[in-house]
Amino acid sequence: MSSGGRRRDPKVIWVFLAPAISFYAFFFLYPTFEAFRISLYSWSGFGFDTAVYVGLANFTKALRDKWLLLAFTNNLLIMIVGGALLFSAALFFAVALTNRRIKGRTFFKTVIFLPHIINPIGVALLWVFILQPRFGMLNVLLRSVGLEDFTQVWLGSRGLAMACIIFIIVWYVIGFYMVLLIAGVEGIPGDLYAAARVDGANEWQVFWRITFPLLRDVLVIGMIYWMISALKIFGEVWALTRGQPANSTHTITTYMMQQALPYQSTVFHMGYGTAIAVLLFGLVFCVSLLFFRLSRKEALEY
Amino acid sequence: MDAQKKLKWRQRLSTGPYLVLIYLILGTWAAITLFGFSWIVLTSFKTNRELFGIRTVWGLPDILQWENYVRAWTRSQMGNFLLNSIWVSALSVFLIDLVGAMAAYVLARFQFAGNRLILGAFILGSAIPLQLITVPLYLMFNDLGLRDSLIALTLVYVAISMPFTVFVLTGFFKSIPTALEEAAVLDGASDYAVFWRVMLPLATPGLLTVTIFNFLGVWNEYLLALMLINETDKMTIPLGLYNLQVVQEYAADFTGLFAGFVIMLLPTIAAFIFLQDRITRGMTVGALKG
Repeated sequence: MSSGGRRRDPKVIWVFLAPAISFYAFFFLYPTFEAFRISLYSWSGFGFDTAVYVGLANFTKALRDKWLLLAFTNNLLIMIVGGALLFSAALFFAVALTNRRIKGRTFFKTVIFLPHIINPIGVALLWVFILQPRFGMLNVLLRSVGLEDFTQVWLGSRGLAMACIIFIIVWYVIGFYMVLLIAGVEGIPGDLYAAARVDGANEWQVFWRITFPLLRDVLVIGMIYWMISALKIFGEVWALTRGQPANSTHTITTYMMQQALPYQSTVFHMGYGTAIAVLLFGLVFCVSLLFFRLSRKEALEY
Repeated sequence: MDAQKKLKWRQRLSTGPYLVLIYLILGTWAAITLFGFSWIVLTSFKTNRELFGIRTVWGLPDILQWENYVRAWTRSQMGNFLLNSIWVSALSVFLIDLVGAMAAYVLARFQFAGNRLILGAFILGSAIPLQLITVPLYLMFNDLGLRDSLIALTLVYVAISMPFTVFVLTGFFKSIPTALEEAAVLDGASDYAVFWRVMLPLATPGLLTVTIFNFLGVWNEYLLALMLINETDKMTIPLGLYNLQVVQEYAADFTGLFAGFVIMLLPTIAAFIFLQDRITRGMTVGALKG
């Protein structure tokens, strides 16, 4: 380093590093290693001395667990169906809200981003109210315009509940991806657009020939980030449906918490729940490595 | 001539109907959000009867029912949740900034064996989903008698924020020119003085980003709080909201629930309106670096 010639007191290094390392090691790394150990036990959650070592049994059980498979399918559904809706809408908003001809850009940006600052439980509660079958806003609205037949028990019907969950999650996170893409669009040199205009290209051509190709890097990063989020999704689903009706809307995390969480459920499979978390970690870790790789290469700077 | 005509046609296409369509989509999306929120606020001022009446549910309340708010505040410990959240978030963020900045400064400016390894170990943490540590933490806190302790929850929040914080701040310290530091050293300042008097003030913009990102993260954290906090009077806002739903639904006090919900959202929305630019930037940059 350029503060070169000076002798630095090596004690400083450890004095400054010690607090961060201790917090991190004690409350994050240690529990992480513990998780791998606990996943090898069958344990009800009442004192670890009652736990029985079962080797990899929890993992073989998990791979054959059809409820876990269903939960994983729901994660994939959120990732793919939700992702398609999310990225097409976010891209649309980003392009529209960087277009100077559109009035009220700040207003739209604020309102679209607004849900994202609320905690997931708040978001879920808001929608539980709106979708409530009896007095919820949506059914009331449908009734008042004579569409009585379209009223639904939104979160209580199989299939429909999952569709609602996907929409709500997209509604919740879209502001984040929109802001990300807006930053991307604003980073594209203006003279490229000016040149295209001179050549007589229309909006549509400008988007496909200039904006979209130049946004590719930001889009890829955003999509990988979305994949990780979709795998880890928890609070929204937990507070919206708790995996119901008929366990049809569980995701990996809600299923894991239902297995492992004390006081909240009737079963206490802490070892099994932790094994599920280890599998989730494997999935997230692989996608994260991809993320690190790409984000380092792109060297995104803001 | 022909080309010019074509150009005009294209330009018209790109302004007229397209523009209407764009406004339509933007407007619909915004309307969903605004309707949702205003309906909640409106309902929080109604009587339970108005909520269930077919004709009154969508209209304005007859008389503003401020009692709903009084009830929500007193009966469901809303004030408590709010205080707990403020206390946990403030202490967490203070510790995160302090501890994170100290580590990041050393990792950015000192060369020693293990430097890159330590930085790598910190960054690796951002690939670990929190679900993995829920059960071990529960077990650990049970053994240590730290369940239902807000301080313990705070310490966990400090730990899980380290990967992102150290990563961003290390990058930030590296970007600060070394000249000022060298001048301070020539004046005879110790390494400690250089950090406190020179580097930390220079790192303010980086600290601000980190603070906003971590504050919102801790303020909204739910999973670990759910696992470690069980007593109602120790709950933070997200946990309290969930609890509120259960309690008020048993009491069939729906308007009270709406009022409680509004109270819980108010601080966040107020903060967002005042700090909008910083928050959006802090959140996006944060998530990408973390």
